[in-house]
Order: sequence, then structure tokens, then C-alpha cells
Amino acid sequence: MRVPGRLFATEALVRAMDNKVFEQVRNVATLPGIVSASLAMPDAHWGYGFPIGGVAAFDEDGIVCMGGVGYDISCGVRLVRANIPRGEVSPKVLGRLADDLFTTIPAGLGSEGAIKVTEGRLEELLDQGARFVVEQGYGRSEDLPFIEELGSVPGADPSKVSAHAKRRQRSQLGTLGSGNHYLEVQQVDAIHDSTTARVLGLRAGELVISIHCGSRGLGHQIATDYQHTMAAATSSYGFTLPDRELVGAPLKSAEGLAYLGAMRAAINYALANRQVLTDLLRQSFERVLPEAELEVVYDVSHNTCKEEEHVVDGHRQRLWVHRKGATRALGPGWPHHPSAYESIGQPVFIGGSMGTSSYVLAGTSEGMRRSFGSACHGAGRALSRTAAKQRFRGDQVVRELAAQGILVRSHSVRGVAEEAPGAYKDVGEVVAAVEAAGLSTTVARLLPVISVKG
Amino acid sequence: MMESPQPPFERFAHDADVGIRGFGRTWEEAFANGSLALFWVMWEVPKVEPEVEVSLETTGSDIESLFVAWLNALITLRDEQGLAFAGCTVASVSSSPSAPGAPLLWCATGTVRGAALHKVRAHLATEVKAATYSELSSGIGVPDQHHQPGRRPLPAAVGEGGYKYVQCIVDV
Repeated sequence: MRVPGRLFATEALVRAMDNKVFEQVRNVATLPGIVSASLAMPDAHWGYGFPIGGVAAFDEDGIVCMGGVGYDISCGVRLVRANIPRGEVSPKVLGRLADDLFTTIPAGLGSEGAIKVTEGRLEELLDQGARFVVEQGYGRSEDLPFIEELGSVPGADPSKVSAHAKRRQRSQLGTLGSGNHYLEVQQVDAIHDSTTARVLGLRAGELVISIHCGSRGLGHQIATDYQHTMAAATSSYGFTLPDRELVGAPLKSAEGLAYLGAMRAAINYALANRQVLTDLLRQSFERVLPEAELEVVYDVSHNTCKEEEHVVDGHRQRLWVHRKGATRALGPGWPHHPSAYESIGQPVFIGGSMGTSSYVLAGTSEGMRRSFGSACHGAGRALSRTAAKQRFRGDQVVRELAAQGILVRSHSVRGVAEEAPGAYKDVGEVVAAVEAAGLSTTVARLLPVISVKG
Repeated sequence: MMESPQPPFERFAHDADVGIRGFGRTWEEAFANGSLALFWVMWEVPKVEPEVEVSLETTGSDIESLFVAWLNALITLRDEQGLAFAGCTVASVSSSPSAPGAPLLWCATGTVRGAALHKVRAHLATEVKAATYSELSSGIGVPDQHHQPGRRPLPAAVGEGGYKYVQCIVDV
């Protein structure tokens, strides 16, 4: 190991972790150019090369490692506030909203978005991200300051994205996908930090909407393509790796630069995807609940590699921070923060399951020192998909949640069983561990009201 | 095909995703059955009535990476052509030097049969993003490191070690 491994968690969470997590933290610590420590967040679980919940920073002589980003590049969460109390919306209207969202938001395997992007325009989209689709009329320019990197990450290189990746996304812009992706209408259930909540415009009892998805087939294909390219690069640069999923290339190499260019294009695609979904969300609310005023709170990703400045051992250094299933949670004054958010750390959104709470957090200065400004991203699974499918019935899960006032709309009964609340760990314990470690502060707790799943 | 009432493939557990394993008397059968395991993650396979057939050819540096490349080619085809698959036939899994003195290059060829995804909309389950190198292995017999309670019994001949297997985790 070149650096130590460091795990942020309670004893109970550590005991519940798969041994694979510890092995993967150790493996990441052996990578060339890693700085300070190989980190794992409290929701860490067995991933691909990196644990999911893994964070590692590399100096300029180090490598970019695609296992540190994962297959769903720039998967993330956008939070939108509706500025209307749940108490003012009748159960009947909530039911209509659930049905309208289900027909409006393309979700699930094989779902198609309404927008077909021609090849020429796709290059622009991959270069400009959410900014491009806003210019095409999907959303508002006022949304952009509230998206990471103002909706458009610089340094994207669409020429490094394969034809297969471009074809794969041809009907996927503005779609959720499946698995653990969702669009959820939630109620702000509790405010933990009233000052930060006020800055974010979050008020107890009001409705908000979380959109959790990523770069769809385009990002998946980029990861698949570069897995192959990086495997060849790894051997040509003489790296000996403990795991094939840790393939990478020097940051300054042709292969490393090509991957970074393609990965940033996928980040822009993900930001554009969530922007188009926000536009569809507004259309649905406009039809069913026109009193609501939908405003973007923030949009943050949890599968990325980003070039950032951090202080290590008293020296300011330029680092490439890999976050695989870990949310960027920079402290107050982070680059490109909206002027309204000047006094607070970067907002962080932690999804639970469709039957349990989600959380809003904010990055801290302490987190900058301890975790390169990173926090967890979810609850983490307690049961495998296979075990969940054996234990739960999707239709029964839907009925039980309905009895609790949570409306689930999904194209896949099997998918609901795999995503049943009982298949996930206690997100509250994960969030408490993040706060105890000083990585973020808890701002608000959200409860599910409507869940649209693929 | 194998003479067995049981599907010649199985799933094995992974924290967040799904492990798939295909068995066969030959590598070709193991690849085809591994593909079926992939399809079952994504949809109810018997509900797909094949209408089109597509040829595939993939390469890899060894038999394991060839299996991942084969599965990823199927996933790419699913999105590019909007298809759900009922099954595939792997005609050959072979290796030869890519040039005199060069390392072996492994190659798989075959065909996959399917229908438009929207025709089986009611029977779709979970989208697989990619096949991965995680828990990737191949061999003879039944690996037991992931034996799970409740696992469906496999054909006796598989357990006797006469069968080859290929496996990996798929990311969903």
C-alpha cells in the first residue's frame, strides 16, 4: 500500500460491511500517484475495483482509474422544490399527480425519450451539457447556476466518445433508466439546520422532488469502451494491478486524456438528461398542480473524477478526485457556487429507499480536510437483488407502501421487489455517521410521497 | 442443447448488482447459457417471440475477457436496435495468434434472436448497464464460493465436473 486506507463509519456499519470493501480499499491504496489515503464512506459496499462509496485523489503524476468513476458516469441527484405545502394538496390530486408523472417521465428498460438528438447536435450537447438543452427550450436559464459546474463541465471531448456510445443513447435523453433510479415527490419532514435550510429554500411540510439518474447508455458504453482501452494501457505502462477493474492510465497520457474527455462528455450528458427530466416534471405539475412553482435547489453527482485544488500536508495541490458512489461535498466558498449559497457548503442529497427517508446535507470545511470534500450517496443495500426478489413481492410492496400514504408507480413489479425498502440499510445511521465524522452537516429529512421507478 | 429440466445457468449474490454464471459441455454452450442468464435479469425470456436474428463477433485477450466482451456486445445491441432477446447460438469460441509470435486473440461468433423491446414491455425487469470484470472467471465444474441457501439444484452432470462455466457480475 502506498497510503493508508481510511473508513468513515460506526462500528455497527463496519460490522455489516462485506469483507470485499476492505479488500477494495486496500487495493485502491496501491495505485500510482494516490495522495493521502484511500477512503470509504459509511455506505461503502462491494463495487468494481473501487468500493461503491470509495474516494481517492491522485496527483498529476498519478493515474485516472475508471473503476473510481464506475459504469454510470455522473449518476447523481437533482432536488427541485415545489414551494407548496403537502397539506394543501388533497390525496386525490396526489393520486392524479402520481399517474401523470408515471405517463410523463419515461422510466424503465426500453423507455424512450421524446427528444431525438441528431449527431451534429449531440456533439454540442456533449460539449455544453444542461446549458445546451436549456438553449433548446428545456427548462430555464435560472436553473443553470444551481447545477454543478453551472450545468456544463469544461474539457469534454465528444470526439473521444465512440459511435456505439452515441448510437446507444439515440432515444434515451430525458429518461430515468431502472434499477435504483427514481423520481420521487417528497415532503420536507424535519429541518435539522434552519439557517442552511432557509438558504436552500426548504420549509417543513412543503413538497420537493428528487431526480436520481445518470448518463444512460452513453455513459455505460464509454465505461465499457475505456475498460478495454485502459486494460491495454495498464500493461503498456507497466502497472501491476491487484484487480482488473482498477485499470487506468497516467493522467497525462493519451489514453488518460482521452478517457477524461469522454468522461466529461458523459457528465454533460447526465446534466442535460436531468435538465430535460426537470422540464417534463414541470409540465406534469403544470397540468395537475399549477399552484406549485418548481425551482431547482441543486444538482450534484456521485460518480465522477474531477480536477480540484486541495490542501494536503499544508500545501495546496491540484488533484484528480475520484468519487465512486460518493457525493461531492465541498465546503463553503466552493467553485461555481450560486451567489445565494455563498455562506453554505455544497448541497448533498442522500437517497434512502422508496419507503424511507432521504436527507439533504451540506459540505463542511472539516470534510475538505478529511475526505477531499466528499460524503456518502445512499443507504447501501442490506440484501442482494436476488435475495430481495426471493423475500418480497413487488405488488405487495406497492400495497403496503400505499397503506402508509406512499404512492409507487413502476413498470416492473420485479424491479419493485428488488428495490423494496427492506432491501436497504438504515439511511439514518449512514447520515449520522457522515455527520459524526464531520464530512457534512444534516440540513433536512425528506419523506417519500410519490415514487416513480423504472 | 443440454438434456436437462433445469436452466443451465444460475445467479449468484452480489451486494448491489447481480452475478451470472453459464454452464455448458463446451465453451460455446457456456457462453450461450451465460447470455440467457443475462437476458433473465432484464426480462421474462419466454415472453420474447423472436422476429429478427443478428450476427455477432467479439474478441478478447483471454476467454474471460471474451465472455465480458460478448455480453457487452449484446447489451450494446439491445440499446442500439431496441431489442429484447430470446436466446443466442454461439457458433464458435476459438483462439489463435493475432500475428506470428503475438499473444493469442480469443474470438466468439454467433447469432442472437430477439424482438422489439416495446413488444415485451409488460415483461421487462431491470436494465443491465454493463458486464464487468468483477468475479470474472471460467473453469470446469461448479464454483462453490458463492453457494447460496435456496439455490436451485443444477443438473447432476454439472456438479460432477463435466461441465465448463463462465461467470461475472453485471452492473444494474
